[in-house]
Amino acid sequence: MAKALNEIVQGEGEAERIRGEARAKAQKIKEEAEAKAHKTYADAYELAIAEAEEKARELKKTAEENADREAKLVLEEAKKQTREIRTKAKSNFEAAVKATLTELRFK
Amino acid sequence: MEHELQRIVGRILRYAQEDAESIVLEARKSADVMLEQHRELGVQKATERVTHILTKAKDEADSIRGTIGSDMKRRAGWMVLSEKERLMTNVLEEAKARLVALTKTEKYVSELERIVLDGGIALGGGRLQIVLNKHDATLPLNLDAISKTVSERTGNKTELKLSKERIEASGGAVIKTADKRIVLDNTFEAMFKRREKELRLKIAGILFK
Repeated sequence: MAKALNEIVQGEGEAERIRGEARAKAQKIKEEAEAKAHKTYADAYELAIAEAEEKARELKKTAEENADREAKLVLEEAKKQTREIRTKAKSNFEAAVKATLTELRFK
Repeated sequence: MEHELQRIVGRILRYAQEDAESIVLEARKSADVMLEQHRELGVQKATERVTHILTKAKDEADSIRGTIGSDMKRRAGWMVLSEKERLMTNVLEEAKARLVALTKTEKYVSELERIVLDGGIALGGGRLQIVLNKHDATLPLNLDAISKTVSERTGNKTELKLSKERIEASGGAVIKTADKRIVLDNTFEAMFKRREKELRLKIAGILFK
């Protein structure tokens, strides 16, 4: 009977050692997490800022690309208008010269 | 009895093992939750600066669009406008060239007489001096006939005289009252200069229609 009780007590002791080890491991996990917390906070902060800065760069780049594209269209349109003006001016040149002379009362 | 004892000890150890696993698992969960909370805190803390960065970027993007857009529209407008101006100037230059060519023809005498007549009428007649360039001063202008016509048109007795003074002009005439108080410059250069604005309007109306 005494031997049985002794074995149970030893078992309880072993059980307590197992739990103790687990508690120690849990404490270590907690301490490691606490140590890592500040870095996690700082990393998250830096990441959010870096993402925002990247987005900002993209916004400006896109704006510049769009503006350049629009600018090229405007320039192309102006060149087209200039060509049309030259064509009209060429065919109306003589009439304009004559009108100028008439305006100055020269026949 | 021995078997029962082993079963009891085994159960004690199994429960202890389960407790141990639960303790470690719980610690890991707590650690994960804490780290997640810190991560969220970091993101939250960055929100204000992120908003500032993005707002500034949007403003700059708008500014880029506006600046490049308006600059290019201005340049495009200037390009078209300067081309129109150039083409109108071509017309004016051609008209001037034709007037210069006209001075070398017989027809010019009557045109010059008409210019003098117009000037005489504009000045209201009276004693007037006609100033011409060196070449035109040699032309056979009928100043008596012009004087007569000016007198009739203005109702003022008119006497036109060719001045000894000469002007540097490609053609046309300067008409002055005898007292030189009123001067009417009807040289080609002066006529173009005086009426350039309206001539350009007229030319634009014809040239670009």
